[in-house]
Amino acid sequence: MTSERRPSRSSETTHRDDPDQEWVSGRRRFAADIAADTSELLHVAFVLSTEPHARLLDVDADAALALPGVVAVMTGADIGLRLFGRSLRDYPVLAVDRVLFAGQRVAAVAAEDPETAHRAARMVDVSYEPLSPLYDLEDVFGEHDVELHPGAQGYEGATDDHPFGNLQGADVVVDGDVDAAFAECDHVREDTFVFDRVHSAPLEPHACVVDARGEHVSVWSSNKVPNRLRADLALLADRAVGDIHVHPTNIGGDFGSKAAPYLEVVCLLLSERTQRPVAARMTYTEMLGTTAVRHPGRLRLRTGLRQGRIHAHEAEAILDGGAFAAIKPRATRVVSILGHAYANYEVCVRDERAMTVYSNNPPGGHVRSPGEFQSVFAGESQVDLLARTCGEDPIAFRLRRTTVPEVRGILEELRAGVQPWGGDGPDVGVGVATFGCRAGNGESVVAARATSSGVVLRVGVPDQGSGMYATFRLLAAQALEIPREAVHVEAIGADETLTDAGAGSSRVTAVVGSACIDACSRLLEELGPPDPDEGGGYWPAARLERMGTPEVSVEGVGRNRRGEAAAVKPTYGGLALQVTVDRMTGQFVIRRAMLVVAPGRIANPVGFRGQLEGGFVYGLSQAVLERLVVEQGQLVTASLGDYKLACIGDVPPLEIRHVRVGAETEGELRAVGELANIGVAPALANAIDDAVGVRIRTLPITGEDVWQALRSVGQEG
Amino acid sequence: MGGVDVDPAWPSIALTVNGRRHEVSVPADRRLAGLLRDDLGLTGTKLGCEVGVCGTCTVLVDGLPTSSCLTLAVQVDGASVLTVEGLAAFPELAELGRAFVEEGGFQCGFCTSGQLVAIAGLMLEQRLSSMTSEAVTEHLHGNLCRCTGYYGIQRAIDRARR
Amino acid sequence: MTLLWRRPTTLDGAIEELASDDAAIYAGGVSLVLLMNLGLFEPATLVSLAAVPGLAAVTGDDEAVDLGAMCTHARLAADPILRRTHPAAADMFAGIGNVRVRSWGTLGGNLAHADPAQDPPVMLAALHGTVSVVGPRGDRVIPVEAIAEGPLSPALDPDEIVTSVRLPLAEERSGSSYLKYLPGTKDDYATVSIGAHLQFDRAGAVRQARLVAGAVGPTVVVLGAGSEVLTGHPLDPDVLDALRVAVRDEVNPSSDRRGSADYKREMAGIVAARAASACRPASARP
Ligand code: FES
Ligand code: FES
Repeated sequence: MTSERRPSRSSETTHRDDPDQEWVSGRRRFAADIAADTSELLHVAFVLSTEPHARLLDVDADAALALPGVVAVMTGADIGLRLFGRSLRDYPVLAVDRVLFAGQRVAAVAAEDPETAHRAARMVDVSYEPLSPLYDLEDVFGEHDVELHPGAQGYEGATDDHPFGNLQGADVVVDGDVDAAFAECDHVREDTFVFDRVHSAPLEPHACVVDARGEHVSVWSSNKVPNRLRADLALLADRAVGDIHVHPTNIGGDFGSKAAPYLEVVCLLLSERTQRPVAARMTYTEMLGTTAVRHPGRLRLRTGLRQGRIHAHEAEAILDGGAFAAIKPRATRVVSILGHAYANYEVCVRDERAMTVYSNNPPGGHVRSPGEFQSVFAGESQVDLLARTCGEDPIAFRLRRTTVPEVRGILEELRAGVQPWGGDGPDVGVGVATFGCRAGNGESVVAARATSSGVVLRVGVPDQGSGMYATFRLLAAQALEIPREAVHVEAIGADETLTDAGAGSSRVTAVVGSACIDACSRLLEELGPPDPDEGGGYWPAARLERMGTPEVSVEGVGRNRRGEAAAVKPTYGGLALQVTVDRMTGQFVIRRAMLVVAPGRIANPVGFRGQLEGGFVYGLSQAVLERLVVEQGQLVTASLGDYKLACIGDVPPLEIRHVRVGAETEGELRAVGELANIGVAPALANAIDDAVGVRIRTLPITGEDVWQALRSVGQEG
Repeated sequence: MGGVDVDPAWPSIALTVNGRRHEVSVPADRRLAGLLRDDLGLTGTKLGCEVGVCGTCTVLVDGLPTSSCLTLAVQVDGASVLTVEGLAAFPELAELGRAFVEEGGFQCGFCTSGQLVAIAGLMLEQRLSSMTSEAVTEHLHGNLCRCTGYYGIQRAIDRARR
Repeated sequence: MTLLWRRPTTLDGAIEELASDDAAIYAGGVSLVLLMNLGLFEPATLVSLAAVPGLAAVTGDDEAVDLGAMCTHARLAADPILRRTHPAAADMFAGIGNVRVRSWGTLGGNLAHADPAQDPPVMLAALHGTVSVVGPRGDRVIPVEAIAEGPLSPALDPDEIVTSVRLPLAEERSGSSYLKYLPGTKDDYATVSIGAHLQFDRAGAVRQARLVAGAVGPTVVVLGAGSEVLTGHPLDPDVLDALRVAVRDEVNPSSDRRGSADYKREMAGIVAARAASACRPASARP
């Protein structure tokens, strides 16, 4: 369904990870599969709060404990307050005296089989005294004296600036006097964009197996950051870091959800207590209701033109952070939502502010492009509106104002690409958006060992499902000029000798990939360069023999620090969509899509294309279908029957084009994981406006929204 | 044929899984997915949504695509079950696996067993090559993939159809 | 509580087993195990109908076809008799859920699930279908639209068993259609669905119309006013628009994830007009 046109096809081969068979034979094992082959295992089910905000009066587990097959019940009172969190530790592994959202873990039951554990969990009798809840932003900013975290100042990671009680965090980007700049503008427009809550929804629910029977603790988990998991477990379960071994485990999709120790701490404590290995696997309902969601909220953009140039830009974001800030890694406790609107254009003065507040909703966290998805929707929608006001073509308007050569190249390619689409009947429209993806900060170390039989790369990052190991093998094979079959990638799990920031933030290819390349160049320093006279193949074997050594070991480092000169360059993209709108129903159909990217160096063509295609559909699904409905603090869309994801029948034909701008960009690794998904929503809103002249400023964009908008202007069919 | 229901809480059943016959006693509420994964150790069949929507648990029961999360083990007494682990026995499916690898038919691999079984069901009945591509797509509406965007799966199927 | 599995070999045996507390009929399992997986239903005994003979046949005579309650959706979609007598119904069965649901989900299980967003009750009610039910207090026949009292509340006693659905053969110069409005993903229940069955006179005017709507109320809704608008008129644009308005004003949906009450009401009118229009016998279509 997709066609590609790329200039340098000849040198690109298609390879996937080895052993390939593991993937297609069902032998690839995930955390829940480890559980299936562990003997003497106990299964853990959690008791989840049914109240969005309440004092916890009593947890009565007698009936559950009396059920045959139940071995132990653990409550917050048993283990005391143990708080986890990335930049702020505010989230208890089990609630102690209060619950702050419906779904919060209150107790855990360990039983001989999962059915019994779940049945017993339903029999645990929890008494609550309901407290007044804060359900949404209106509640939070309304009249009340509810303070959800009265002890916030005492949390580890707390900062002093705490202007009001329910503030999770704030972020500011200011470079100039925006009021003065607005005063100089000849045209100003203001739009408010509103976005709903969505879930990262990987297909694999979180799962783990923990065996803490002896001196050492073994952990298999779908958690994507083994190093941090290990540190958290040590801290929260009072164990020495060195006693904990987190085994490398495949992850069945992450998209931001699998970064917190939701299950593992309690499983460790239960394993200690029962002296049995224990396993937990969330039901899908539990995952939807208890793991991080994309922050809902609103973003107001005010932008002024002066003599056609973007002179002043003001942004104000207010986000519902839910019950806990724990899942967010940034010290601001605001997802990265500032600086992305108008990022590709020259803007004279910016003043952008964001805040996240506490509420009695599921905690907000990172979902693929945690703030970019919303802010690029807002920014690229408003750019189109400005173009319309100026009477300019949206592509021409962008071309005239971009400062980024890659974006210029992309826009030109898009313009040429959509040319033949034009004039396709009434109520048909085309919309475009441009965007960028910056690799996250982080540092990784890769250990490389050359032996007589091959090169082994040892990495600390788990393969969370984007095919990155295949990429590392290809990078090493190219750097060392050896066959890719001679490279083996080993995951070592969490290990104190190797630094790794974990998967996420689109950093893996760029950061760990650079570490692989660095390790290979160090290997070459030790071994000397390949010699064409040695006959190719796996040449280090003969070299090692001549050197009289069985193997050579080195370590390589990769890092990204935004703002530094050597920072990984952003990857840029542009998307065009063509839609048809049924004026009577508001239903729209995306007829075709064209994605243009300026990719830098493509280490693994199959993986790269997969990230673009998968990202596009991920963005499509979240732009038009997904809405995690939480009403009065209660999850309504509690299964994949109600929380709908795009299926194979929903995806339009997609054409992918690559543009190369300047030779110097060819060799660099860039980020791509969070690129294609962020352009879909604005391109779609722009296309709908182009087709029927109504503007949707809410996410997700549904047929009903379009129908409403048409009706409000008297334009329905 | 079928086992004798001596104990209605713990019925005995006989079934064939990937060509091997098994006679087992299971609790009446054991799901087919649980029987395969926990009792028979066939963990290639995954559990995702457990409401019949995602398709990660897809197996063939007497050739019919089945959500093993919504099927009780007792219900398949006497039946023949094919899981992803059994696909290797069919040489005509080898190209499908290769195509999945080379066309980017998976990333995390969590949906892959279900996708392969769903497509294999069509290939083993020799229906794939004669179906329109719309019909093949319709057949896969219930096999979600969160990673690939389906394009790689589509390319792999197109290759297997030839 | 341990679940008991019963597999009677006669209808009477099944009725007897259903007398025990918290016993439920097990047909294909898809709806029932789904509710069990979500913790919404915890039966004590499941009574499988798989070994009861005679429940999975399709038979026809010169007045009607009878669809056995244990027929799966896939079986009905492919049935040569049904495809000939009621092609719109066969198409409807072919479009239910996903392929796995169609492989195991049964007609009887679907109707007894009493979900107003399901496809079969809407189309089968439009086709004047009736349901045969047996139970300890005797047998009865009820119209398809009367099988549900509300969402997930069938108008059946726990020990009553649906055995078949009878569809009268279509009259001459008649046409049927089933339209499912899916504005989001193709893999979903309808926001609104309409089953329509129209009979025309020689001149092409509607002699009799039956329209039924799904997903716009606690049960499927037989659209009385909507049908009245059509009777006596050809399907020209004015009539179809009058139908749209009449249906819009007749239904009283509540909001759900698939659409607000307002939207569903408007869409019911539009989809009804489109469904009626699709009923034109082939010869009468432009
Ligand atoms: S787990 Fe069975 S369909 Fe999702
Ligand atoms: S490959 Fe991850 S869900 Fe399909």
